[in-house]
Amino acid sequence: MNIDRRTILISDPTLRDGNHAVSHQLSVDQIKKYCKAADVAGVPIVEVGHGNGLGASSMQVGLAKVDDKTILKVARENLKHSKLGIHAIPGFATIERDLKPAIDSGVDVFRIASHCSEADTTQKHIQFCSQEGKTVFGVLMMSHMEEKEVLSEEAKKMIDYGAEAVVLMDSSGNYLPEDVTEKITFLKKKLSINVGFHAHNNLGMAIANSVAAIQAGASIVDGCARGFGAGAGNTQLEVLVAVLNRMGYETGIDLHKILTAGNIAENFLMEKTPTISSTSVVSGLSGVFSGFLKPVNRIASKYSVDPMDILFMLGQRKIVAGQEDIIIEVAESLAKKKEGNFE
Amino acid sequence: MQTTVFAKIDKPDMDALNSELYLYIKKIKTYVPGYELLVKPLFENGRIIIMVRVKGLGDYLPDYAGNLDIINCAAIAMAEEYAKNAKINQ
Repeated sequence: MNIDRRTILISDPTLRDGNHAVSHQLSVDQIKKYCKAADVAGVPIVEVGHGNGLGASSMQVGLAKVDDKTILKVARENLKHSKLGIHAIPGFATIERDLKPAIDSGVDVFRIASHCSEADTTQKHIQFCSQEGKTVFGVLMMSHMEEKEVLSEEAKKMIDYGAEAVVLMDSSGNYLPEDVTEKITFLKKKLSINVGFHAHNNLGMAIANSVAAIQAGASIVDGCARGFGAGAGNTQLEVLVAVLNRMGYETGIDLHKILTAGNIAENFLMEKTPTISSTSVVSGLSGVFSGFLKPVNRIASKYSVDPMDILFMLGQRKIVAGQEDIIIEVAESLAKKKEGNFE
Repeated sequence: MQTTVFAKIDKPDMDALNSELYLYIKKIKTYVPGYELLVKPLFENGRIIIMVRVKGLGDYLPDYAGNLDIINCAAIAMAEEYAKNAKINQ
């Protein structure tokens, strides 16, 4: 993919990250409706799937309503111009069970992700997709947890494996614009590769951080209709397109039609539009993956403990995405402590 | 080592599970000293969740490597049994 300096490639994970917000219960009909709207609006990449990507439907991170194969089939049938993208975390996703069928289903863009210090785990998956001639991006999740030097080393590994770009994810919504500027500038200078940024809105910084990323040299940014995503939500796509239009960047997306897509998303996809709840602020501050919000709230009420206390403790323990079971351990220990205080 | 076990069961009998689990843990603890139940059986969101942790003795490997210790403990327990029987047979 050739990316011109003034052209920003927008990848839209509404139907993947948004699945977190509805506990992975997006239906075939909802996928169909939003794919059509995004396709008409000229969204370059539409990413679909379980919130944690291909093969992730499980008791650990939540069972999906629709299986991967069906999701990909429905999305493919309804995307005429947009490229079809997926998120895949090695460990959840395997080459044989998940990547090969995804290629057969017509996926164009493979975003292979790992925790930001574990790029080694993506080697086989990136190499496989690259050898199959597919567009591959490496994705470093929870990137607030490591310094720029570490991120640069990990990004270089992904590029060496065959990734065309590396996307930094602010999976907890912890970054401030100056953090984004520092890290993206360093990656661009050190590696001269295509860099992307995926923002979360826990501290109300998603648009500002996406703009900071672009100004520091990022050429790929993620945005979701109405910000539909885990917890406080992601960068709001319609706003991002409007802001980039004003700044004179080219996205290939029709503003009027993407605003319509935003309305469709609000009316048909979500139980409620993402808001920055108090627990989301805590999740952002303590650097806990936004996707933890739903299970944390559910388990907190089961144990009658404060979800904010759970999030603070998860942050202290540096728990990362994929370690959802630890929420239960922490909740139980808080409940025990509470009981102890009454004795 | 820490492990979480999930099981999908429609109408679980938690009392029966708890008493059975208690017996098993007691039995395992006789030859794996670092074995403990971290989160007792919980029925949540349509699934049963149990968490166990195995702390190693920390002789050669760090004590977090309980996954390796549990194998050694089992091997020692087997060898002890074997030795007992060998004595009887002599």
